[in-house]
Amino acid sequence: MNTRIFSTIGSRLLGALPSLAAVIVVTFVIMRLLPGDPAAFFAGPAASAEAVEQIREQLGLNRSLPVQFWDYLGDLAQGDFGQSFTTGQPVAADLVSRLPASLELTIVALLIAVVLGLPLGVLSATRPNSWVDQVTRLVTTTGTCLPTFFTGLVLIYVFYYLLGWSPAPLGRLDLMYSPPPEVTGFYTIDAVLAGDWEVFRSALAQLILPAVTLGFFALAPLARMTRAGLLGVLSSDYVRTARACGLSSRVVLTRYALKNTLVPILNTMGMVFSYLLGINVLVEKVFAWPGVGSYALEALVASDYAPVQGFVLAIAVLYVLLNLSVDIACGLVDRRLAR
Amino acid sequence: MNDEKPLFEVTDLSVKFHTRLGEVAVLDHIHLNVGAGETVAVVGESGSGKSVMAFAALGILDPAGKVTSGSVRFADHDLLTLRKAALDDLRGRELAMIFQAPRTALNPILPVGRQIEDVLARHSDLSRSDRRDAAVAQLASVKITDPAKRYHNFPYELSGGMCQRVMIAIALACKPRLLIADEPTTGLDVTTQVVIMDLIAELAAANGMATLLITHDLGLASDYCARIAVMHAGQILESASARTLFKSPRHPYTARLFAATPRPGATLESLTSIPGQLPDLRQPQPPCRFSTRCERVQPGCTEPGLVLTPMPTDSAHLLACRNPL
Repeated sequence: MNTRIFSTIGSRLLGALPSLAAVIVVTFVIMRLLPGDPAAFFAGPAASAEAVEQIREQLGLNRSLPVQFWDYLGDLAQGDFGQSFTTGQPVAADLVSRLPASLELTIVALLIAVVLGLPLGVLSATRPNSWVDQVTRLVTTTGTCLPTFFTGLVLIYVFYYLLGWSPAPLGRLDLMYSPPPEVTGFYTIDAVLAGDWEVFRSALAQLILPAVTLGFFALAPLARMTRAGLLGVLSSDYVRTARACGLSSRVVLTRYALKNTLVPILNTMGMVFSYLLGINVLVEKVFAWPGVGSYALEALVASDYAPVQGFVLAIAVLYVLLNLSVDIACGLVDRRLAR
Repeated sequence: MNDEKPLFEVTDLSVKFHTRLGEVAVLDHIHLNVGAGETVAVVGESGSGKSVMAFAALGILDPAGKVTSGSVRFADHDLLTLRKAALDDLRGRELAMIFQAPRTALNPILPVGRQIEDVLARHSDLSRSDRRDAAVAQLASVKITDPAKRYHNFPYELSGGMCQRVMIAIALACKPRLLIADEPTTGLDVTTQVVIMDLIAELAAANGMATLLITHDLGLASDYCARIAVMHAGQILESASARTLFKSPRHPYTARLFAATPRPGATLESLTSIPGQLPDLRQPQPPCRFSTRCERVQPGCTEPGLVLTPMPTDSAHLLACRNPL
């Protein structure tokens, strides 16, 4: 059993290598195809043609594309993601320092979506067309059609500007505090580990609005998939068998119905998580959240190749790991999928 | 036997389904009873409402279906008005059911032994380890070889016949007084059919359990059941002992059904199909729903007030026909 899981993981990781190779090639090519000249950008508007040319040479951009690509591959092989022109830091260091911010935001958003979405889905499936079902339908429809940056701005307007309940949407911590000693990189967890409750409160207060913004968007597919999956399972033959055997409603709902709905729910969670990684880019911008999304967006505007390539690659690796864990979890729920 | 009350009694049961295409009167004032330890078959074409009757009795009717008249009595309980908790105490303990398509009737992600244990946990005071032993013993009782190993199998790892054995093991785990077997052999190959039916008959006899067999197969019904009720389009048309029905069917539909049933020595040419098809139950129906397909139809057949009544010669032979054979 255990050896089989390890060999599954191994073969899945090997199987992901071609996709990662494709991601490397495609991001490299697309970045070069995009309009914009990094040399001109960094030389500044007043620079002379020679100065631009000189910078181009310094950056290695005067060489042919295949040569640049070969150098890029060589650097990657050594774990070197290149240098960001905008921050002046190695891209790998930038990503490592900013990734926890994005992950903390995304994971909390997903938690909010799961904690609210699953019960809503279950309630609306067990009571179709009741008021709970109607409310769920309303919430999921608005969640799907409102753009996240709009939701974010409305939340800021109401809870920061009008009500004043929320701190200024300016990053992960109030300026009064300094970040807790880094263990996980998640400020809330690190603050708890350090026993610093004031920092924890501040980190949580900063986190709530952007996480709710993202979570509201993620809620819709989760609640819908739970409802649809559970409705299908509730009309299945084995649920009928369980009822005919007199099993209690609770056992029928949990052991027979919900557990059989878990596979589509897990798959939706994986899908939603990867959506969130993409949508982060906008929400981080709105809330001045120092994550990898806003980092990549700024780099993209500046035609700063290395950070964008590094960002896409990091997200791709994350995506591969995410899909793998979803598949393993599904295999544990339904053994037919583990084979 | 006529003096004591039957174990299971369906009286005047009507069920309607609300569908997008209108209201469908699936069951029309059904009467049926099963005595303690008796074996009774309900026979009819697919779609005649046999399963709906069983589902209504056990309270597992699709939400679109509503009981519009009648009652279902089991022992001293009125199943249709019983509170859910009380009904749950009966279902799976005194009154059990097995289904067609055994593979889909079992929870696909729970080992089969655990599914037997769930029923035991609901209806008995056995400890966890005793339940486990009982589940293995139950698998052995339905003649599954190597039950301790099969206990851990998932339904997808077992054949259709094995799944039906597991289903029987679940249904009989608490030694019920009545087993409703809804097309238990449909979808199984012929040799497995015989084995499963023999198993049900053997366990029923051993436990003194009554059996209500729901089937489209008149041959199967007369082989395994003492009494047969013939159902057509939600009406019981005739009911008698298997022997009487076989020797002298009085309803034209019963006779047609026998003529369409393969039997030893019959050639394919000698089998005749029943003309027409089940009527469209969304439309208003004549008192006898078979009259549109019947060759013996006469003007009196459209008059209201047709009921299932005992024959003057044989009070156990019930008939609903104005122009019997």
